[in-house]
Amino acid sequence: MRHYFCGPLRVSVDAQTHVLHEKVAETLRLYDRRWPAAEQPVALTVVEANGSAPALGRGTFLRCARMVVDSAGDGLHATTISGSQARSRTNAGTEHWSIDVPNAALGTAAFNDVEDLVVLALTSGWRKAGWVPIHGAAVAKDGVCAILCAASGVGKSTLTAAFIRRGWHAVGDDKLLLRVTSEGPELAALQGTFNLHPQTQAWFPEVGELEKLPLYSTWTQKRKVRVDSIWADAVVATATPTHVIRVRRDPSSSALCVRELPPADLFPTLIRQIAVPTERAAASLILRTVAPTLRRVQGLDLAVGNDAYRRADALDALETALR
Amino acid sequence: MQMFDRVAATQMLTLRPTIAAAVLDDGAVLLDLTSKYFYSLNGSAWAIVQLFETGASAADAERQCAAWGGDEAAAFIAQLMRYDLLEAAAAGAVTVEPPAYHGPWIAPVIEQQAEPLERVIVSAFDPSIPLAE
Repeated sequence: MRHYFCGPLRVSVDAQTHVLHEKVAETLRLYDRRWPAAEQPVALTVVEANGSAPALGRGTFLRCARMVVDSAGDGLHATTISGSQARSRTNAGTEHWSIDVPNAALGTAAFNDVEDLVVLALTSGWRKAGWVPIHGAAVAKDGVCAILCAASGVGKSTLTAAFIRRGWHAVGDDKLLLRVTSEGPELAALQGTFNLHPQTQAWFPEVGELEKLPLYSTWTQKRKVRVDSIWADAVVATATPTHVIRVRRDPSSSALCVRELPPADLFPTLIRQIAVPTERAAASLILRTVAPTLRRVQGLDLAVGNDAYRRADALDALETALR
Repeated sequence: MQMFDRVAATQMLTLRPTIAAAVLDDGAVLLDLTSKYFYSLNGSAWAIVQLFETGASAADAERQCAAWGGDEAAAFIAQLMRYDLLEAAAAGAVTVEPPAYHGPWIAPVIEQQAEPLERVIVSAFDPSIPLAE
């Protein structure tokens, strides 16, 4: 059995084979920020399964592209379209996940479905620890912290890199945790890596020749690089959010155009970065975290034009708006 | 008293159990966990909706709304029904103390967001629309 630390979680992995262990560890290593107090225990047991695949569930808790999740007793039951499944139960404060992977899936593309199951276990653990996972980026400097909200591929990572070049710190590039305590909202980092597109080098030469790095996914040309391998001390562990920036592409422009975000658009902007389960308790935690956060932040709308980062002063107006 | 499409004014109603709420500075947001639609409410709309958290009849809501200084409850409840946010309360549902409403009464407004949250997403962490394989 080996242990991994994924933000506030201490994850133990007991896998039947080395191949299964490495597949699970591959996902766990993506969340490579070890927090000083990683106290929420999660236990993963992974075995090869023989026989027929389980029937796909109904998705009463969550429906994903290759996985559906159902509430089952006091835990969850997830099934993937390739026949892997996971069941959770909580015992003495530890959430135990039993993951079965059909041996026919080993070494095939279907083996990647294990990642979905592991991410489900992590998100469940983070919520039990009081944190809401946010699929977004964040940058911080001098008491200002902006959450960058956009769909995948719009340019959160590139914008984060542009901020870092101007002395800002990244709280995260793609994956964050948010909670609200008596002292207010707190944002925390889960990763010290960037997913950057090779064309980023055209604007930021110091990132180097990213195309020489291996692809980390068949779905994107982006490469995964450690932030501190490019910019030293560029990542901070936590920050208090002060702004939410809705980032969108504007092909008709060649600049960055910033304006105030209408108040009515703040909630939709942030909630669309969060996977909201259908279960009321899980959804309520998310809403109880998002709503007080929004009372403390200002909203900005940022339109990113083509080749907007070519200009050295591209971020001037945005930085002014954040002050 | 205005009657509603499907229920009598004395029928006890509650918010559907699939509705989650978040209180914001100037009102609230309701999220329908089944349809994934969410709704923005101003302060007076949220005050009326809170009457249905444990159970209230349309007549109860109209009386309370009048006490707050408004006369739009019937039309507003009809709107909640059209959005399918209310259902008949279970037997034994009781009306509780109404929430406090501060300040001058303004007409209740509920707005449905044009686009619901995605019903099928990439993963438990990533709420994006999955790419076609």
